[in-house]
Amino acid sequence: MSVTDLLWVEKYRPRTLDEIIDREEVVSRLKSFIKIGNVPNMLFVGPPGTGKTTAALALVNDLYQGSSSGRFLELNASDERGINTIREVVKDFARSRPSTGVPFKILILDESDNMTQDAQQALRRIMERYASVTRFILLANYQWGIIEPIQSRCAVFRFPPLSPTHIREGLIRVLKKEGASWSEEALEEIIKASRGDMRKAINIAQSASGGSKRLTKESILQVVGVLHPREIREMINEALKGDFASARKRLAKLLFDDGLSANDILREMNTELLSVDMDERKRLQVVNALGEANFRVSMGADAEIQISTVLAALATDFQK
Amino acid sequence: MSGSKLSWVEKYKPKTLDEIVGNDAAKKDFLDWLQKWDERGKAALLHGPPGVGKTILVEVAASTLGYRLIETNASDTRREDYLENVIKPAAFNRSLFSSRLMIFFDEVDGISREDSGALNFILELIESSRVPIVMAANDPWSQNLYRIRDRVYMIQMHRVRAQSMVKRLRDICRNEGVKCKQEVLMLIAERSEGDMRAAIEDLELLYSSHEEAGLEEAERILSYRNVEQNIFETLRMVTFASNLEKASTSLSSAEERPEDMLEWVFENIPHVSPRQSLYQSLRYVAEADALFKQISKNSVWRILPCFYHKLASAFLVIPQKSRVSFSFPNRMRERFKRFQHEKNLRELESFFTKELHVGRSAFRRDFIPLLRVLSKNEDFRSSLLNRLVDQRLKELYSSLILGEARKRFS
Repeated sequence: MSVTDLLWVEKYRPRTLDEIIDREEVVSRLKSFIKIGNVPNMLFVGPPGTGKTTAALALVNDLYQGSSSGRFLELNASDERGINTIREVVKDFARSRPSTGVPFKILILDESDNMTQDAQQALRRIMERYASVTRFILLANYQWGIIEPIQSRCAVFRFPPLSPTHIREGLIRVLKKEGASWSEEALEEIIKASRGDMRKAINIAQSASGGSKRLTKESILQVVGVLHPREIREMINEALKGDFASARKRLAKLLFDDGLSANDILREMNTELLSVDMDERKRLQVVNALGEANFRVSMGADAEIQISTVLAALATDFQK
Repeated sequence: MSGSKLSWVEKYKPKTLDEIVGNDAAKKDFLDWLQKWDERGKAALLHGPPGVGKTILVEVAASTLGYRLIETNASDTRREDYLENVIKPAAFNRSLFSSRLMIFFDEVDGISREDSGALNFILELIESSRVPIVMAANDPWSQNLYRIRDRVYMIQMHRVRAQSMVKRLRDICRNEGVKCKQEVLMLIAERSEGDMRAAIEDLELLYSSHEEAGLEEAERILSYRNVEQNIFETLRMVTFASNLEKASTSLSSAEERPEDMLEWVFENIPHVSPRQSLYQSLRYVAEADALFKQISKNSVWRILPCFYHKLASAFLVIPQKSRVSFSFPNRMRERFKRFQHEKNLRELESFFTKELHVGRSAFRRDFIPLLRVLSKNEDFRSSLLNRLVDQRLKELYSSLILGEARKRFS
């Protein structure tokens, strides 16, 4: 038995394109590829929990009519051995042409905007060299995280945050199948906290359901804070208060103990920095520092050093 | 009691090959070479960082195979009479000695390039010797060895892994009857950077005076002992330098590698720079970091001075400097611990990311907190653990997700 049926998000993940109810346009384009039996290289762009992986897996399933094993592979692009692993895998693909049916295999590269620019250049060459035997589906949070030459070789599909209606539908579908009960208030809280992220919505629902499988507003509010770590906001507040040392300690914890990616921390900081209370002139300075940090990290600089400068900017009184 | 004054390094000097920690491949390689040696076999060069066991390997291998060792070091080779009267006869095994001989030149990279006499002597010896010649060097790529390099059989020895070291250190502790905590041994091993000898020296320093030193105490004591005074002096000079040239020169002429210097500056800038200038200071550090990555990636070392200028600027923008005490970079100290932790996380998540079709960062961001919450439920916890068939996975899950007794270093 696998662990997947213990987690609702995976247990109820749509397996075919037909089961995907909230991405009509994407689904119809993907279906037309299947009809002609060929797919281009693709780039799926959107924030977490918007169905990128689901769409990619469903496409693979429909394309190979269920017998997809050996014909596709999922890899995490941000592995530091990533680019070499990818090269090896693709080489193996090239060596063993699929005998029947579709004449190519599919490689799904998750988190590809976490790759450094250099790795992406290497990826681009691999994509060109093995174009005849492999199609790539790149999944990314940001389109600009992917270098231009790769973007231009891909059909780009956008996955914006899901609408409250779609989140609601998705949630109810899962809750019914689980035989859980819920109050309308509870549902509203989940939708609000999920910010268009279906994975988050379902995760919140599962952690709040407990043994009784009953969702109340209270049980939702209890888990939201835990699942959506407040630590980044706390780090920002510490820095704002001038306590740089504590903020830096917290940064080290997030990066190393929790092992969060620099991208995730930077994205979360970006969101928080827009809403947190501070002088507008200072906000410009801080956001500028964040931009520099973001850029340098993408060029391979050290995340802890770079993000520390943002914390220092937060701790600075720019009026004097 | 009389014999107990031996230093631990001496006392626990390996007597058999098995007792030499690490470098199994190199040990085997060297022994093979020696066993197959004949007069055409010429010479071997063992190279690797200090303290990894080059000298001891030669000594133990010699005694294991029944060779009598004639040892020389860099200062001996300067004495021409010694070379002529001791080494030469030995190389041709002229009756002076009865047993089988082996000649060992330790620290050959320490022979200065100007001392062409000694180098020529060794070169000639390599060609004509009738007994095995073995050399050891830290840096085999040093300029003065280039003629020797392609005439010898090179064997590389690596830094000893911290885990292997810990095992040896623990044995010593047991033998000495001292109680030493695992994390202290880890600290010692980590700080030694693969130098077994330095690690044993540190261990003795710590426990000859402190019966049961804890982690904090160990850090305090070892930071005074191990870290070269040099670097603190450098930081002080840079902090109070009056202009860019002075500050930059102090940084670039220190013995630290540039990337380590970056660590020292990053650690200490917040101590030196008050809140008002901290952002400016750290920006320079961040620029230096980004620049260094480019320099080393593209091998444009000629712009390394710019790197030092940026680091120096981090100090120069500070309006008022107060006297401070500098500290050892936390990131350097924790390098190994972080590495281990990251390795464990990856091992655990390589299972989950495949099962759940999520990327690594998504797993850490969204699923670790989820699994923590859900695992508070007894039923969920036990059914999840049941599905982790692998014992190792179960352990990792328990320590990383459930936060049970951390077994990071076992």
